[in-house]
Amino acid sequence: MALTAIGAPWLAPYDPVKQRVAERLARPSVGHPFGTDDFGRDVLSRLIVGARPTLLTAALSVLIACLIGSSVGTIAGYFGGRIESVSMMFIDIMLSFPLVLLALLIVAVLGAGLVNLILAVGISQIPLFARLARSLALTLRSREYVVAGLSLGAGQLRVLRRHVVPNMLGPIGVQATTTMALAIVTTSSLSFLGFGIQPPAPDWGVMVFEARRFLFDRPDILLYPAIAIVVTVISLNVLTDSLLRLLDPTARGMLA
Amino acid sequence: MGAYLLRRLVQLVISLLAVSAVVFFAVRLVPGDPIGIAAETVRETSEVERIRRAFGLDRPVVEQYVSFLAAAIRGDFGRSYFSNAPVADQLLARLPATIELALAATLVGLSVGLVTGLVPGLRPHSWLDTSTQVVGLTGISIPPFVLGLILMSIFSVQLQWLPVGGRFDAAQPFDLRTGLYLVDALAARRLDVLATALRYLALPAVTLGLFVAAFLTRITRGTVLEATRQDYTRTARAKGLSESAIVLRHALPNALPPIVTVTGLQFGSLLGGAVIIETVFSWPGLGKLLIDAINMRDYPQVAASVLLLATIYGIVNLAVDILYQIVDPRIRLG
Repeated sequence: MALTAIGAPWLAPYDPVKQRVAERLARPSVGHPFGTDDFGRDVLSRLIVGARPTLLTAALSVLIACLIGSSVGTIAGYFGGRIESVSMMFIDIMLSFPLVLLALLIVAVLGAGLVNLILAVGISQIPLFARLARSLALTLRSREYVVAGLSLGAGQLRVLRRHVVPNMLGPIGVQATTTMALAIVTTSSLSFLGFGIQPPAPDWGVMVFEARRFLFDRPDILLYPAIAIVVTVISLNVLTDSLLRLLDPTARGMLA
Repeated sequence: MGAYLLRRLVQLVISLLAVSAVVFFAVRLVPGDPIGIAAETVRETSEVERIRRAFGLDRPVVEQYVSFLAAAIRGDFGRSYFSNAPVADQLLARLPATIELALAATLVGLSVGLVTGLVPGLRPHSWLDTSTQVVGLTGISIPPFVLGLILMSIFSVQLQWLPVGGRFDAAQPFDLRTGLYLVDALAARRLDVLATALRYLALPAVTLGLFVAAFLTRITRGTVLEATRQDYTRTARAKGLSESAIVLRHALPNALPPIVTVTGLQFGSLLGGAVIIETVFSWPGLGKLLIDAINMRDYPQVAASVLLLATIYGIVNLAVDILYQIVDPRIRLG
């Protein structure tokens, strides 16, 4: 999937937004394996090129959530005290909203669009990382090697960088993988609702939205982006499961 | 228990206050004057100013928040920028639809999820187990809006068995009392009404329910599997108890706490999913109200809908924590 997204411009046989009205709603054929939509746009090309915005928005939002969430959580868990109670209070407030609702609220404030979508989904996922990072940092803080490092006179930052953070990377990586699956679902949902990537850009969520119009004539047009989304999300979920098993056989089911 | 309940209630109130502040200030941050959009037809500046004053938009933001909060506690969320109708009335009119959908989906999710988790959990690594796991994995990987549209395409468009959207047939007059069609139809012994309501409810409820069921299947299987490996199960088996007695009396009660927790945690996703599913199936609930309000930049409506959904979420989470204690008396809440 990622390779398809990178190679999209070369792989796509047709221009994904160019309209050929003469060939509208064509049945699947050799020229157009998945047929064309109501503007005569090649569905396969839109699907291939659509992998880019879909995966890119999801990846960037997870990156935002992971960077901010993990830093806040690590600092809170490691240093404790007032920093911890204040930052966790903010995290708890964010957790008072169902995730999609929080993303919707942010989109409502910022307005629709690609960048705002990334921000909205990214911010709404911060608590997932912050909570995990905090509990990890809390446990690691009392480990012998951390205490030993500190008592040998190493600075807080050095201990944090050399001993705490490296030991957190595994679980956070797993969380990032599973969150990526969630992010694809959320971003495509919001794009479907019209708050994310705007038509005529070829995005899978947008394509599902557009497929509603021809449920009667060409129900198969719905299936292609649907299958693309589901296959990607399944792959990420399977990857999460195997990463979990790889890291710690007893940790299964720990991540929500 | 009483003290715990009180403390949790106080916590809930505090978190709702925080949520209300977030919502209020968030919608006030929005660039672009909503009155400007609402009064597009009104060209006179003085008229626009009059409307701004009428909605209280000329006062300082903090002052607006305090009066918003004071009014909200009395159940007054202001008036819609567009219809000028009281927002609270709209919310109350839409609330039963969302409750009906959420309850129906939870019911579908619990019944499907428990069975599909319980049976393979008892026969691990059988073909039944493997296939359920594959279906379960697919289930948690299909976004609800995609599943909803696929079901709609099959059952409403191709087979034409079920309506494409909406909540009830306008051609079939029926007065609602509780706002829940299923309850009212049963109370009035109107089977025709019940049938119509079920036809409209079926697709959205099944879509959301399957989403919940997929999560439950995975958790139920895991916990049942673990319970059957415990010593007490072996003892029960050694005593010669039948397999079904072992499951129902020993394995299931011990598998319940995680199941309750997951069902509770999933409620947030259920609400979020409901917001989207309601739009897919034109279900006239809170979620559709919220999406429409965002589209029209109807801020009082957005603020009130989000606040109400977050309140429901908070109350359900509290209920789950209490239920958690009931299913597992070992957990002492304090």
